Amino acid sequence: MSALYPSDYNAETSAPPIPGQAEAAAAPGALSASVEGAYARYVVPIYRFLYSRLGNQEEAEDLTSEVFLKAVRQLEPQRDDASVQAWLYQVARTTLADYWRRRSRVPQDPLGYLDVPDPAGAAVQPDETAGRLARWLLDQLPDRYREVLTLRFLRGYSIKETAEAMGITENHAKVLQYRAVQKAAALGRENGGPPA
Amino acid sequence: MADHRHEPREPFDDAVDRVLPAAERLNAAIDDLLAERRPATAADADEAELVAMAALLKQLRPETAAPRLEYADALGRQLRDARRAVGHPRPVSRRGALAAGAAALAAAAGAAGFAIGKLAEPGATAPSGATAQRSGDPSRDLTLVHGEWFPVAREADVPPGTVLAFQAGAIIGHIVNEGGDLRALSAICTHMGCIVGWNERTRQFDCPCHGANFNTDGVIQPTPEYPYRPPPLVRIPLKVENGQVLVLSTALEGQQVGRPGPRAPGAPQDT
Repeated sequence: MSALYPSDYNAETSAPPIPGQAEAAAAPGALSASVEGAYARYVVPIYRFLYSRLGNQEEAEDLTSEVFLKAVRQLEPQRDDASVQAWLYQVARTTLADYWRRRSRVPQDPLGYLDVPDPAGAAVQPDETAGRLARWLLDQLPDRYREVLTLRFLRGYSIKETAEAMGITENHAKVLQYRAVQKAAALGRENGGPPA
Repeated sequence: MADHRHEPREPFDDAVDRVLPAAERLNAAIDDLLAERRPATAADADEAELVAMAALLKQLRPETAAPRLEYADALGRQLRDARRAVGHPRPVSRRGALAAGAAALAAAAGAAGFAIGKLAEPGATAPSGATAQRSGDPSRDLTLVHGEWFPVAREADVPPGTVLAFQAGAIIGHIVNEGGDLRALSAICTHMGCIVGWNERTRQFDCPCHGANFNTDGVIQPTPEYPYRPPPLVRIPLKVENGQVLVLSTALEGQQVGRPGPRAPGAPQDT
């Protein structure tokens, strides 16, 4: 961003509220403009947020589409930029929770504790929270757990390559990986997210 | 794989056998996540939590997730169709079907170093020839990692003083000839991603959404009605070869390089 914009320009916050925007929005076509503007500005952050929770492109694309299709029908045109952003993140969270219910018969997002309401409104990007938590959790784990997760997730090794690199059988690597993820999940739950 | 059965049994082996089915299922889910596929439905809440944690652990990777260009473009089209179905007329432009996709690309490029369109930083490599029209302010230049050159006009079609709209792959923009200096500017307004149009009378690019005006350098001209200063229009690398004007862009699915866009180069401009 700093490479694109003059240093005094912050793309996240400085699109100024436009005087007369509400009146303009009442004109035919203004809603469309606001949804298209919202799409252009937020498709990447919303996708990134959903991806941080789902961990794969297929589901992240499906849910991103759901969020923006809801926006076409429900987003009120008179909202300003900050409120459009807050609305989209809220809908993304609801969509994620519905998805968990529908698909896994799990009553809620298993990592729902990450959804700390952001007092500043839009200052913290939810996907950054997720990345910070992941790094923090990795640091808390015992060496072998950290090693298996590093090889698998950071290096993208197959389970076979991971087992070879660690000098253990594949089954042992699978079990080690399972316990490492279990431990990370327990730590996340106990701490309710990464320390501030 | 099951070689532990042939080895002397150690205490660990019993534990392995007990946990192995669950560990196998989680491993399959992790394989899916690493391949960007949807994992199988979790058997229970515990398993769902582990898969969710595995998804989170993918955030350890340094690369930033960004939607695929084809996906962003298809969703843009879908949203426009959905909006028409809801009964709102199309507002901004009669231009090709790529507006929102291109806007998303521009927005992504601005927001975060999108995987496809990345803005030039000092030292970033530009494809050969792309430096021919450097603005002297590299922060405004678009660099594509997998860009291709698209012919958009004959040089003879853009004499000094002309402004021509073009569409090349994922990019919509204008070729500007200012006193013999050729440049290509993205048509995506840097305020909210609407498409700016050329106004021959005022010789400015007008944004239909909020009334921003940009000069032929792509720089905002604040007015009492629009007293803001969003960044300049993004400059698209341009070169001239054998009398052809080429711009750097990236092809959309099903599109061939060099196929003219819906608006033929040289067509008269509406304002």
